[in-house]
Amino acid sequence: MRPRGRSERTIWLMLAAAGVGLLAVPFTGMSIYLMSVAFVVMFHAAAAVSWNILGGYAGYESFGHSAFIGVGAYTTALLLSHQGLSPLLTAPVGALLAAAVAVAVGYPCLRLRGPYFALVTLVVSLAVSVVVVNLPGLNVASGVFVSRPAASPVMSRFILYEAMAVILIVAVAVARAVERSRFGVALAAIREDEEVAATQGVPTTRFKLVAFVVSAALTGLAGGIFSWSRGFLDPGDMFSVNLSVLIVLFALFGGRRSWVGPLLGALVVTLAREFLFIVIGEDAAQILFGVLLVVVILFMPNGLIAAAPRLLRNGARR
Amino acid sequence: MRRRITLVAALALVVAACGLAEEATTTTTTTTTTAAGDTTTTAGETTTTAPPEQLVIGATLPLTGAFADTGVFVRDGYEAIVEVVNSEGGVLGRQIELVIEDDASDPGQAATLLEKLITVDKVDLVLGGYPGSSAAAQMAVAEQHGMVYVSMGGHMASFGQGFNYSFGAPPLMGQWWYKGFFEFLSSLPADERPTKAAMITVNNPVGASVREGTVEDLAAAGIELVMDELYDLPLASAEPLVSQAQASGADLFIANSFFPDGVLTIRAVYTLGYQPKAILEGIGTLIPSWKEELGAEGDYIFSGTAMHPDLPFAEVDLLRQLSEERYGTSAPPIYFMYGATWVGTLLQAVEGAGGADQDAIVAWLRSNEACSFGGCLTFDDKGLPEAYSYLTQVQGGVPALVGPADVAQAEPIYPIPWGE
Amino acid sequence: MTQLVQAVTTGLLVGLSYAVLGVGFSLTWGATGVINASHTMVAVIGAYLGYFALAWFGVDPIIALVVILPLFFVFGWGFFEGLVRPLKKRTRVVGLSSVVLTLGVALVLESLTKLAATANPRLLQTAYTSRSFPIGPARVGGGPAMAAVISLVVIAALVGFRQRTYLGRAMRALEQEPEGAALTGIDVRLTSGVATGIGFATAGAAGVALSMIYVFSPTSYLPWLVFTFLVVILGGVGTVLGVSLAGLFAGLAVSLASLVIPFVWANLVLFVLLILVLLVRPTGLLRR
Repeated sequence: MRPRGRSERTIWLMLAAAGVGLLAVPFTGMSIYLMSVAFVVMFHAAAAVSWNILGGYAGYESFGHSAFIGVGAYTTALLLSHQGLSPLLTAPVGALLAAAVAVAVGYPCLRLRGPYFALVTLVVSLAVSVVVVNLPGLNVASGVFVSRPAASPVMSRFILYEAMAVILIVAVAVARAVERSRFGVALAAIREDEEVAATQGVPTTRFKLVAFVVSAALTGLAGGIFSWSRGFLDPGDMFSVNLSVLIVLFALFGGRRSWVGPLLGALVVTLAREFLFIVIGEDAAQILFGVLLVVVILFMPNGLIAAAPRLLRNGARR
Repeated sequence: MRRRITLVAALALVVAACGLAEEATTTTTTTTTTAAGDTTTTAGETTTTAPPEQLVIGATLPLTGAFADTGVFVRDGYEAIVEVVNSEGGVLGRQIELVIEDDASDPGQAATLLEKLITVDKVDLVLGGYPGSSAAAQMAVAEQHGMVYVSMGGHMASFGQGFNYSFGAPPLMGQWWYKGFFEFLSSLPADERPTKAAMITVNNPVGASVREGTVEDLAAAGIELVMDELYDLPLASAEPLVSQAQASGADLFIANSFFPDGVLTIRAVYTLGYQPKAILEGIGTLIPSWKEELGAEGDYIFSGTAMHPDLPFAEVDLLRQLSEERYGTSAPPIYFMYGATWVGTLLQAVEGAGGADQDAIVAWLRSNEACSFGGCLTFDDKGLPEAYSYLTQVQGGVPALVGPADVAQAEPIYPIPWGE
Repeated sequence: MTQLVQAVTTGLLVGLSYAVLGVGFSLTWGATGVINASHTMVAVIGAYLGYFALAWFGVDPIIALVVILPLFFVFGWGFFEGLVRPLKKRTRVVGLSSVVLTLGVALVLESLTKLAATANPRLLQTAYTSRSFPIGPARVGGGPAMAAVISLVVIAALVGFRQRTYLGRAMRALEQEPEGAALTGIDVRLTSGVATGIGFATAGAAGVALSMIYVFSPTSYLPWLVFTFLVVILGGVGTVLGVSLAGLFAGLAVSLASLVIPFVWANLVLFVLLILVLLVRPTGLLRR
């Protein structure tokens, strides 16, 4: 899907410019509230883009990615509340721990495909949740206090925004690098037909595992900064199944072939939900959202990105 | 080319959404009054059509989501009292406007929306949220912005964070929950008291806080804790837990549970024929579902509370009357009472401090008794009043107020009359 | 010893409630390829209907099943015609899309239920739910016992249906050989429609059964859904006996585990067992 007439370097420069732009937005005098909304959007986008490395590129749709969010989230939260270490330092540790969990469960889980993989990842996320919440001595079950990033509210929101923006940029960069590499081509081959790929010499098991681990690490990184914004972590918060499913929806909605889909999906869906919630209230918003899901699946099964050209073309014709 | 178009479209969507979001969330701004009574508005902002001198109070509550059934009662309590106060001329001659946002039972959303109310809507005062996890998150936000936060309090540990602006009026502290029960036990002759206790606790912050207090209370009462189990929600079956309690020979059974697991536990107690002298259940037999859904199946169960509809205080008459008007029953729902008390305390402090200056309000609360519907409270430097708890027991399907003796409206039934 | 027998009894009873939730889900998945994430929300609605039948008309929920079962069957068939057929026409691999589609349906149903019945938790109280009786050295509550009866009847009916009737055998054929079944003269559309209808009907029955044991509210569908997934994967997609056995197995595993390890780890045992089973037999305990 290489755009005609543009070199790789130009694309990377454009993306870098967009990244800088993203980092610069708060300096235009963004309100605290908008920074909070943007923070959540970027978190969702980062999680979705990371998920997609395994779910979209390799075709292994995980329904348990909140496990990695939770691992990252609690790593930074506990290190902050027990040792006073800033999540800016410890988020990478969260990423590493999430990666470790992926290594531990990846090999067995990746032996399954399709719905079985989806469900085993769901169950794994439940198991991880039980383990983390009940780790001896850490009192996770009684709740964890997460102190604010800075004394001033504006500074707090600013730090959170910038940290998550950096993570989003990293996630997109990694995802794109994977897309453009031979590793990415191999993943696509696995997605299309894993048996054939194997006979062609692709080390499917190893590559799937790498995709799983990278996806998990990036998600853990995002989770590590996300918990910093919560103030108080109630045990079920960071491991919710809802979050796992939502991430899948972002990618499904936006499209899974490249990093753009999940990012767009996260953006549109998160903002739409927020907006609907404010304007028509939770119940009506959920009904609308449910209907939207049905409509999208029936009429845009490959996501907004794939359908957009067709929609735009049809729109232009009228 | 296509990709760029969709990106631009996405960007347009974001800008549009931001704009709409700002519009949808900007509420009325306060106007200032000069001494002569002229109104001036802050330059560039829209003039309100509301009467001048308004006092705007902002809060978020779970109006939807897991805690909605309780959240709406708190909102009702806030609204009812504000209505009454406004009809009597308001506070310091100023009418009160309540702005209550729905945080959908999400603590992160609660914190964000409170911050929005403070920074975007620029409310004069804030009120507490629900439940404890949301309040805990909001206490930090209120502190950061220097706003007084009168509420149920987050969990006990929140009050150890060194906040100056938070007050629990009353706080709903799990650690204090059973104080009424243990006071009652200590009034019994020694040979009638239970000797062994079996305790099960739901594995979350609320359960943990109740358990923490209970362990201390049991030790102080000389009762041996022979079983101390945690369990996760959702609970599939309570028989294994109750069976273990029964086998331990405990004559005091303590279930620090919520409603769904609490029901399973009681039913298991009856099914297995476990007959302790007393059953203590945690998270409030005063919640409506307990009476409406469980009824007499829950008879004899003790619990604790920070307020009760049958309290013989003159101020509670107003709540009984308001409840009659709103709900058709003269037994005000407990969270309606809490809401009323939280806003009542705040308004009393505003009156006492002569205005909405947050530091003046803090100073007033620290040096005065706040006498609202629940009696008079004096706050320590953490913002907590002295520990207290009323004892309730479900009798005839209704949670009666049975302790302490000076407010009790019914006699506690102890031990449980099994087999009668 | 008593504790062991009690644990086994309770485990089996809990397991039966997992089983009755799972069999309809498994049937639909096997026959149509649709992973119906709204299955447990339909069950919740069944629970509400039974509850209000008692509250408003004094009719015991079990009697109310006479109305609930056919009603849900029709809804299920309609669901198939209205949503599943269009989906199948547009997607090659129905799996993931059906999850998202049915999730959308579940969300809509949840909100509608909340608006109609409020979010307040409900508890069914009939003449038998507060009674109990002994089975050997163990004791059983009236509610769980009734739930077990409903579950057993549903499972037996399904097994009988699949073995003895033409449509039932057609469903099994569809499961095993989705492509080839049509060639053998099976009316795929009819069979799939009936399968979905039966799925919904059993969901309604399951909801009534579960309401005899548990407090429920609109959000109950989520934890119920997790356990449904669990037993269906464990037992084998498309099977009825497999899923039933898996349910019993799951209930027993948690119950027995809680005898020896702290309660908070009991669920973990189940999850670990599931992962192990999946590694050894990816298609489930009984699936061929």
